[in-house]
Amino acid sequence: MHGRTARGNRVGLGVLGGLLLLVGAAVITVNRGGFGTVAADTRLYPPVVDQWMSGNRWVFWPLAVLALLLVLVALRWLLVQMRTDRLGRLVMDSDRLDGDASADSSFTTGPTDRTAEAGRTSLSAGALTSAVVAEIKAITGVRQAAAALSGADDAPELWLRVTVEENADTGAIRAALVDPVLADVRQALEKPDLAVFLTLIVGKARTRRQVA
Amino acid sequence: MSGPVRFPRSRRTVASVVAAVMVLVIAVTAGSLATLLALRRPWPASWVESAVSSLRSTQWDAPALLGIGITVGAIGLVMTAISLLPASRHLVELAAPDPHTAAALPARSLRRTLSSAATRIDGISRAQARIRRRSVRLEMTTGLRHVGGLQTAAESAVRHRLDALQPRRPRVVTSQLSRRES
Repeated sequence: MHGRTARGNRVGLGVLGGLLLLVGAAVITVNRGGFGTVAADTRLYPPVVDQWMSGNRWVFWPLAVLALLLVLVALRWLLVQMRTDRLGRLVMDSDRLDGDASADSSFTTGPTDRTAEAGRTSLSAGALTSAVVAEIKAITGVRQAAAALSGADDAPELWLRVTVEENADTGAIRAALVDPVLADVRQALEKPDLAVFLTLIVGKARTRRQVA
Repeated sequence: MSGPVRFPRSRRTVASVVAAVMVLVIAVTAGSLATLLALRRPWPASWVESAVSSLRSTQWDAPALLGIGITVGAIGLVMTAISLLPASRHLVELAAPDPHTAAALPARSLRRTLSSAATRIDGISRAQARIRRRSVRLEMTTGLRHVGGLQTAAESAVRHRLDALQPRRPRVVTSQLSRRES
């Protein structure tokens, strides 16, 4: 659901971490006289540099532009954390769909959810996930359910988040999820190898309010 | 798809957000100061003036600079380690019902359901489960004077609940029962 962001984060942290490590090591080395005592005795901001900077103010413009670029990179890094690979529609082969019993499945019914053109059928991901959620909620012990489709058009993934009662029979719930719910979805989508990520949440015990 | 599907590891979001905010703050500060210098404008705050004058007077062998170098290096080391080491999965993985389905539950949920299984035993007034990599530690309290078999019964109930969940990595259940006067 988040392969690109995970890779980006890893590279970003690696590059920044490596850079800080180098800067830290360089500062320690100069401080301890690793580049000779002359370097250690020098001021951080020598008067000669100060004078040159005062006479060449233009040098601060490239620095400001560099800082602006860094601001943009940092903002983008923050924004991609909210990125998901959610699919809005699923593209299917309508010839296979129409010629198969799966077309009658509750997961693919509803003419408003399907648009067919030139042998391809586009199925609304929302219609599919709503049907899946309805099926899951009907299982005994399930309190809440949420479903989302993500990944690529040709290799979608189904992400399920199922909240069960505190003392629910999780074994029975999982068995009911695998067959018939997931089996039906895979059959309806003609994807027997559809990857499913199921997160079970155990809900808090419900406290009954006593009416006086 | 090769092999059974598994939940992806963490995206390292927290570390990335912290790093991005750090870069943002430093870049905004540096950019503002560079613009002010380029435009020959006065410093916006007195702390900037004092920071610049301390830069002019500080030498490379100053003890404070050693501290700064160690701090920067340590932050860099932590970030590099986070980048290189495998990220955690955050979830307790359960045995896959089929090769194309990955199942898991948050540690908090596992704690809740196992604690609940223990407190369903008559005589256990309070139970708290601690989830470790290879074990589950139960800390229970009872108000009963005679506790013969109570600890075993609670452990058995928790083990039964754990078996029903089928965690991918089996966990040993250990417990401690303490008595509280009611």
